[in-house]
Amino acid sequence: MSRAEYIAALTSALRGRLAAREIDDIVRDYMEFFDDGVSQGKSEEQVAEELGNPREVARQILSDEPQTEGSQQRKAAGLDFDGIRNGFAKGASKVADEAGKFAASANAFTKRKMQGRREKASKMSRGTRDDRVAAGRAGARTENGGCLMLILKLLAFCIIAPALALAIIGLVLGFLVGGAGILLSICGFVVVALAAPVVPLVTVICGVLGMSFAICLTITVMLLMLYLGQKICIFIANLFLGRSSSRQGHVYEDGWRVSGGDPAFYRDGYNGAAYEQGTSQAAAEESEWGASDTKASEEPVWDSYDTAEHPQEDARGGDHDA
Amino acid sequence: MLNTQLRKGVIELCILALIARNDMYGYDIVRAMAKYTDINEGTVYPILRRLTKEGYFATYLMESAAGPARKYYTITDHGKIYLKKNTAEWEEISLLVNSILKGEETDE
Repeated sequence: MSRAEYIAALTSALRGRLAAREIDDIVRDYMEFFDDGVSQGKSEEQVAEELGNPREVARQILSDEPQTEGSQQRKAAGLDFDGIRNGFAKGASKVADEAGKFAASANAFTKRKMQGRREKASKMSRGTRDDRVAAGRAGARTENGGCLMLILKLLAFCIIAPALALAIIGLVLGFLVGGAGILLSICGFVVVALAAPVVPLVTVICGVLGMSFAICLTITVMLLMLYLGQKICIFIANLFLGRSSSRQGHVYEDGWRVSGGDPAFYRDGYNGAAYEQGTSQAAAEESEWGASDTKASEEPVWDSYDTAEHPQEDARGGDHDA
Repeated sequence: MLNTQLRKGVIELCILALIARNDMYGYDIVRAMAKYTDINEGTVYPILRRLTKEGYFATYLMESAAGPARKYYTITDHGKIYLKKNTAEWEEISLLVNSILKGEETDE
């Protein structure tokens, strides 16, 4: 096996598994080894034989690559997202690996979301008349199973909407009561402080400790409730509106929009701005997602394949540069 | 043949020790290793790459008298600490293994 054959076999075994930059670096090392071997009076074939099967060498290289390499590879493949990259890529190798998996699922999720947005935005731009026509068509298309589904969904909405309202009222009431509790505790503290000269010291200490405990507990429970409430609301909104934001849900979207049931509002995690801006926000986001999507798909994954194809020239060029 | 994982660790330790003595380039290291073992020469570079990535070695290019520049490997402070730690561990293990292999009694 000649030098060129060996390098070609090695490159093809690594291609797609490592970033092009890494492969170039590896090729450079092995080219140097060939150079040194030949300058020692060996033939290229002899050097190649000493190095061993290029596939085996490639396997060794891949198994020896630190784990972070995996995430870099995914990054090169355009699967990683900025937030996740910043959040996780700097972590330990395990975390980076997890982030990669997470990025893949996030990617799938955003794509779904994006598609939904695009559909919605294009429909909205066509105006309400078109909307109704489309709705009618959609209704006709899903006449058999669709009607039943529609009724079921409306029923579910009738149940979930009041439940949601009750939950929110409960949350608000809980906050009010919790706040009142804290206020009362503070009042109690003031009273105890005023009465301190009269009351034995032990009683004062016990009162203060008890009150601090009560305040901490109240705040913790309030925060916990807030967190849980938010999670539950988002879960319900996703469960209900996430699915129906597709074509089927569109049939009765008109009626819902009046009652403030814009899916974008729920999906964006109760963002007031998103709610007010409604369609324009959705359209803007659609174009944003669209841009990032084309970027990801058009980005050449292995942009320096050419150099990998002609490693000899490349490696030498690199040497002179350095 | 010894367990590959163990073998790998030993080779890694040898490479660290060699480069701790002198800065060396790839072919040099492979030749030095081949002198002592029947190591597959192609497997030295992956180990060099890994140890470099883990920060135990730094590399620099130096023009050679004949041919293109060579990549030299030099040990970092981090690598020196790692070598010291591994050497101690190796000595401990080899003592233990030797004493068992030779059938000596070891008292706890």
